[in-house]
Amino acid sequence: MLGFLQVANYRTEVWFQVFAKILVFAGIVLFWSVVGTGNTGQTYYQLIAYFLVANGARELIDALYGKFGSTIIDDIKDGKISSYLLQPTHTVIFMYFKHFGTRGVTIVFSILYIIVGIVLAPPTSLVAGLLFLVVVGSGAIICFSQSTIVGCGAFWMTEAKGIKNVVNHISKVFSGAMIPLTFFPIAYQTSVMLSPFASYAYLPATLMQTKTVDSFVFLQVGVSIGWAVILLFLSRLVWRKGVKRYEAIGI
Amino acid sequence: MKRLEFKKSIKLRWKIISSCTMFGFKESMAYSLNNWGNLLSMIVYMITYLIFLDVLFGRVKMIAGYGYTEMLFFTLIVQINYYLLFIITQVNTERLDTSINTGELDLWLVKPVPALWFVSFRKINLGELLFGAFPATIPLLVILSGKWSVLNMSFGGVMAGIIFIILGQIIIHCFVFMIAMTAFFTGEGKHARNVGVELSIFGDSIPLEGYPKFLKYIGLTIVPFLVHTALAVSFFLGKNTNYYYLVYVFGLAVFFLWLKTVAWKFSLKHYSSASS
Repeated sequence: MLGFLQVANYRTEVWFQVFAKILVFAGIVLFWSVVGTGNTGQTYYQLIAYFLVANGARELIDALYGKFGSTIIDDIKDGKISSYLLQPTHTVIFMYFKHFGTRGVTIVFSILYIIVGIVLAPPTSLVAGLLFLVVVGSGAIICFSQSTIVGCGAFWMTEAKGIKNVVNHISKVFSGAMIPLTFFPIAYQTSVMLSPFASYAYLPATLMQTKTVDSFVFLQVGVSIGWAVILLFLSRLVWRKGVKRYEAIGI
Repeated sequence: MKRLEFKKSIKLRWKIISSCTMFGFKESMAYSLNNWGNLLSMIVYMITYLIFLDVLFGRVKMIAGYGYTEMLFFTLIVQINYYLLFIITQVNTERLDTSINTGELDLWLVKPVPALWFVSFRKINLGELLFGAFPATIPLLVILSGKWSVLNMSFGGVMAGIIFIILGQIIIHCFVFMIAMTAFFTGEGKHARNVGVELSIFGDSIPLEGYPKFLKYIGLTIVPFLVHTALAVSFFLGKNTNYYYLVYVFGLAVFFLWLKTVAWKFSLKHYSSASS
């Protein structure tokens, strides 16, 4: 709440933020309208709906720039986590929800994108709709874990932001937010679809448009949950190791 | 007398820009080892973008009449323009925003230097060329090195393209700077600056010929995001040979320079800080 109020203090800035988001999405829509729907096997509305849901889901879970990772890196470098570590709270969760409050406008817009995407191309299956919620949840956990692991790099090196950007660039292409994963060559399409990044954008968007929920869809959802569990465990391990190494004035 | 004053004014501006550039370079190189992360990030970014283009052209033969090699060249010009914008404009608009927010601008306004020129070129980050622009453009140059014959380039087209990049950068710099000046009225300009940058790189994946007419009109007039990249590439590749555009873009650059000066004077009248 405090984080949201802090950001909403400059109201004009909030409007500029809203406009910037519309602009980015308009650019994606324009690009794909130039590429042509004949090459994608989808109608124009299906393509727009895909990108709306894909980018909405990705923004909702903070997978667009992995800003939570940047927050952790900055707090470690500035020594702010010293005070967080002294508090009787779970430090990472505290930092996450502190960061979450600053994302009010982004969250509202991402939900709007998803709603408009659903209106343009409504899901045909209730099961797919429920799996969509499951995948957004597992995607959020994967993104949270990824950001924590990457952010913990600041315990060991000064250039953790460079590593964070590397991971962001990779996730941008392999999440399906820039280009549907069905465009990838058949040879490695399956491995890309089963990567953790697919849960950020491609899998939620595909679930909204899928006509039949077959065994491969269940496999993808299962793999997404599996990645969430593994990465969450890994992030806790890396955090504990990082905190042991942490040095700051007074601690 | 007036000629002497004009010469002095030019010399002063040149001294400001050269000193700021040298200082900016030394500043960025002071922590040069810290830049390896950025270097890695840029290399990975370019690799992932090339994967994206490769995957796209696996399904699509042309985008707005541009083949794969032409799109690679388009990407090269996009990257050059992006880094020029970042090095000269983005860094300085960020500093302007901070100066307004903290009241530091008062200090620069009382100094005997042309204030607008100084805040426009206070820092020119040449270090970013080494650790950002080169890693982003060298892979493209390597891939294109064996494919120049595929591109339909002429001497006139190349010259026109270079002129459009230079004039386009001037225009887009003025445009982004004017948007950043909203910080004088709102007190905080981070997202306004973001809007300016997003507008300047809007549709950086789309060649000029791909735009609908109304967007082409907007992009070459009031929101000039097409001049420095799409229009330049169109001339580089011989897709456009209407050299009337050179006169038009020159006029547009003069107009935006004038508009920037007017906007600056107007904004200063409304500037209030803790110390004034």
